Amino acid sequence: MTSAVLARDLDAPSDAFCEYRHVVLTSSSENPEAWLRAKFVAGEADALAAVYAEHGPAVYTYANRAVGAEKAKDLTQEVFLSAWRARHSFNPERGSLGGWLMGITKNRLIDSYRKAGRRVDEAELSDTVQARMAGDDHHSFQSLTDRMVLSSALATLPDRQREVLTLAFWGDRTQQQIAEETGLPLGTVKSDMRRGLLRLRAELEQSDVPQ
Amino acid sequence: MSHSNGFGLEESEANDRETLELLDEMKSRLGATQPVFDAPPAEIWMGIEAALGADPPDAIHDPTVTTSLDQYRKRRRPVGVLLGAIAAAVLVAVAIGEIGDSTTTIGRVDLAALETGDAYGTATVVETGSGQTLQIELSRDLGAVADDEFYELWVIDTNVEGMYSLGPITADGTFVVPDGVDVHEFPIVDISLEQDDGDPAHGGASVVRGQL
Repeated sequence: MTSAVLARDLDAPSDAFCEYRHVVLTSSSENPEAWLRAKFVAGEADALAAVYAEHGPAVYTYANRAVGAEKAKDLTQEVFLSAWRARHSFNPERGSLGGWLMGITKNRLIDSYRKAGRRVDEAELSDTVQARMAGDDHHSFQSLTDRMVLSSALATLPDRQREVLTLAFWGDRTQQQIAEETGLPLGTVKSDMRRGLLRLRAELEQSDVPQ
Repeated sequence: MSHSNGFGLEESEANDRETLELLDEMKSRLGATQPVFDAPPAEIWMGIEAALGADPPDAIHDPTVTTSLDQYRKRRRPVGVLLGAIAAAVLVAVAIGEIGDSTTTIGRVDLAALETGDAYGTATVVETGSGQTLQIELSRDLGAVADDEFYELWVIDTNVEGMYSLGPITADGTFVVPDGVDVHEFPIVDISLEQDDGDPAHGGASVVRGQL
């Protein structure tokens, strides 16, 4: 039984979101993300479940890497509950739900360190996180945060943008090679890549805004 | 997309440069290996649902508007397996009374209504020597159903991804866990309200649940 999922395949194990997205697509002719956001802010239970299905793995993984599995369970729960209760304060103009959730997670992690009596400056956090992440290729709380925010955002990009960026990030392919491998016109690869990257950057900025 | 004037071409080249710079930056912040997400344990979502019991979302009052399982409708089990499980459960539920003494109770699950948290009885897991059974003792009625509805008993894994039907349920009884299935791996006992629509998958409308 698999206990982990690749970020790029997030849609696959999360039947939840695929199904919800199907409903969303058939229920709203245009922007499905905006529709889901609207449902979430309006307080519909199904929307919370869909948001959890989409972002739960990223939030849990982030917390798990930072504070360990036991605390991560409580923390993940707190993040979604507080997001739900504060849903009216979510401002879509500042970024996506995913970026917002990751920002909340980051603040909760800092809180949990504070409760544990540690100083709150990030250098101190880094040491703790670093110890927990031995063997990982990231060595600070901030880089863990960046990595998780970006992975989470990548997973929710439109399929084609995600595929193009995945090939560029970890396949080390050039735009030309991606065009050849995917059969997409070079112009499409360029514009998908650009749009996807701008979205990732926006998500990173969103996660830095204090929640 | 015309590049017929110099300005358009310059703009396009500037965009290209910016894109590649951004690509490098994001690549270094993402790391050399593709990130892997851990699957969150099911108890997290169950905890969220439980906590929301005191502050319910607007739609959760409607029992047909569902719980998390609505989001995790089972798709992976082949229809044949499910129908087989249902048939086996019905057949063996009849025969189980004759099995006799060589049984051991290996666990007990307190059942509760998902919406209200009210106690609903217990499910006792029994090792029979030839497999496992669930003995369901309900402390109250499941409630009336329409002609085209029925209640169904399930065991579900903690990822809320894999599940087996133990067949329709109307009242107390003994239900056979499909051969080779260990309830410890599928520790969530769930009773759902199903539509008689020929779709063997969990319909998402869980009514009663408990976890081993």
